[in-house]
Amino acid sequence: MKKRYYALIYLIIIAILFWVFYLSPWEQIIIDLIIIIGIFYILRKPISSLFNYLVKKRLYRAIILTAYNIIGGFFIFWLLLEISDELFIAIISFLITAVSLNFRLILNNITSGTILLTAGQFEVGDLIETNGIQGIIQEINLNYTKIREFDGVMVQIPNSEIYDSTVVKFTHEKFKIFEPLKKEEFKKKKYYKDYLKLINKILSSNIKTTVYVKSVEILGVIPPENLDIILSEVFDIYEPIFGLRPNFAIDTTTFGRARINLYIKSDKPSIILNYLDAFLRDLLFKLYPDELFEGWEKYKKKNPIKNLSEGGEKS
Amino acid sequence: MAIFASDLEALIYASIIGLSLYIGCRLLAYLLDKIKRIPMMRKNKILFAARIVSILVLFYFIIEGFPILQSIPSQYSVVITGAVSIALAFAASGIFSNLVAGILIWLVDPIDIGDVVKIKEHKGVVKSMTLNKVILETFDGVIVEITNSDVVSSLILNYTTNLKYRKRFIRFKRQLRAPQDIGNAQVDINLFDEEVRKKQEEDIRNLFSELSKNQQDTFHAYTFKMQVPYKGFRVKVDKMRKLCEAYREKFGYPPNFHIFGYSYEIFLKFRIVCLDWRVLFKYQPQFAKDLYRIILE
Repeated sequence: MKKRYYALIYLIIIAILFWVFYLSPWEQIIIDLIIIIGIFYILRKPISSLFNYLVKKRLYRAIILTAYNIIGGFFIFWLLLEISDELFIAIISFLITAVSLNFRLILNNITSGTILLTAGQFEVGDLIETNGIQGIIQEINLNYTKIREFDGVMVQIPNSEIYDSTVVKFTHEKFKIFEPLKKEEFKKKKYYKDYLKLINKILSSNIKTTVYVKSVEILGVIPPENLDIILSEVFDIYEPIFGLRPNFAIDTTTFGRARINLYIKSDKPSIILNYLDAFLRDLLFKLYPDELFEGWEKYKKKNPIKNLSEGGEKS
Repeated sequence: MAIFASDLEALIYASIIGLSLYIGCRLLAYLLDKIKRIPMMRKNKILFAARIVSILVLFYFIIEGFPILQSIPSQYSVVITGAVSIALAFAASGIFSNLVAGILIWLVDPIDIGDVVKIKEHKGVVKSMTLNKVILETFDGVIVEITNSDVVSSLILNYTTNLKYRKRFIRFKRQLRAPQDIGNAQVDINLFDEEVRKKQEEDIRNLFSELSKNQQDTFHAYTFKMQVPYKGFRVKVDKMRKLCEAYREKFGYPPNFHIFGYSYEIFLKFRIVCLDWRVLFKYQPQFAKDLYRIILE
């Protein structure tokens, strides 16, 4: 709202307050309360602006403003109580019932959020699937869980929705395998200490790994005996990128097509997010070079590539 | 001691006061409607406050004005008022559910006015957020009103990114690039070279300078899916790339696409980045139509 509107509103309020203070026939307590409420309202905007300037975090600003409004609300209810007992009781019972009936929604989300945060079901940075959304958890707050999808779009899911539905956890903890000690080393007395340290290390190790399962369908044109060889070539390229070798398994066949599950593994979910589509692309071009490049040579001759993309392949 | 001498007098005065308050609220709504400069949200807040005050005033005159109500013993009157209020609260709980959800939206801030979002299968831009509803304008120009309680309890896909650090190019770049851009997932990767990389960098810089010039804190990254047949896929990809280059001027940044799955056809996801949602709404359907032509030709 424009500043001049605020000035006008403030002028009207100040005029009313002057009238209340000097000319009103009401009791002193009512006059005092009206003046306090008026001053509270006038100061609300400057205080809000001041905290907006001083406090950068939105949550803290909201808390301060809410506290200020609650104090203001307290004086309003006091005024109502002074004006009429019945009116006060009527309003209080109305508000308590109406609001508490609807706080179920908020309380549900807050409770679910608290359980999600404390139960260690998953945490920020994990790759999960829930409510048909796959992505990395960016934030879990009291009402929403923010998930960054594979294409970078941010999705906010109410905590209660996550709590009530199935969650597929692609990221989970695993035990780290340590090299066992040799028998002769173990027999030496000084190695007992090292052995105990190792046990402690195994018990306390908290190593997370992500195994993302991507289902794709392979057309019947690919001979089953060649599938391993073709996929292995791409797996070899991506093994150093993901840090762990991808894998696959045949899931089912339908209408001459085979559905395969690709197991893409990495210690960092963000690497899977970044390189999954490049991996799928390379796999696709490796599987069907003839179909995909059909008419390509002829097209290239007609349309030199350099002119198409303003760069790239030199014709 | 009641304000009015008799019940008849109280009834007449209460009716007059009620009518005056009603007319006053209507007049205020009319005046606010005429003043275009006041935002919709503030207008709603003022009207809401005026209506609440009117109801309270009327309620006060009814309770304190009728001598018959004063003759009821205080313990009964308190019980009656409490019971009536609770009954009213049950009746009005629907309104309050939206109000409470509205306060929650205001506090948690999952969406903002001008964001391009998808809520309950409705894709559009947030035009306004009132105490009861979130109003979206879809790509078809249809206005969709979604209640605040529905917004709070449903999934929200937000295609708009709020920039935390607009002044630094490197941070802007980090927020702008999709994971696929980082992983070089562009389909025509055989054409990717230093020259293309420089061109991409230049596009990001141009967008950044445009954003800084407008002192804008948001950009929209809208995504949609298309399916392409296997046969002649490489030729189609080249035509699509050409089309994306043609839309560079319109969107201010060339759209991009990548493979995200395949079955009986190849699934492509397109990503359009632009600064103004109006531009997105204007050209996205045309862009999709051009893609459709390429896919089916």
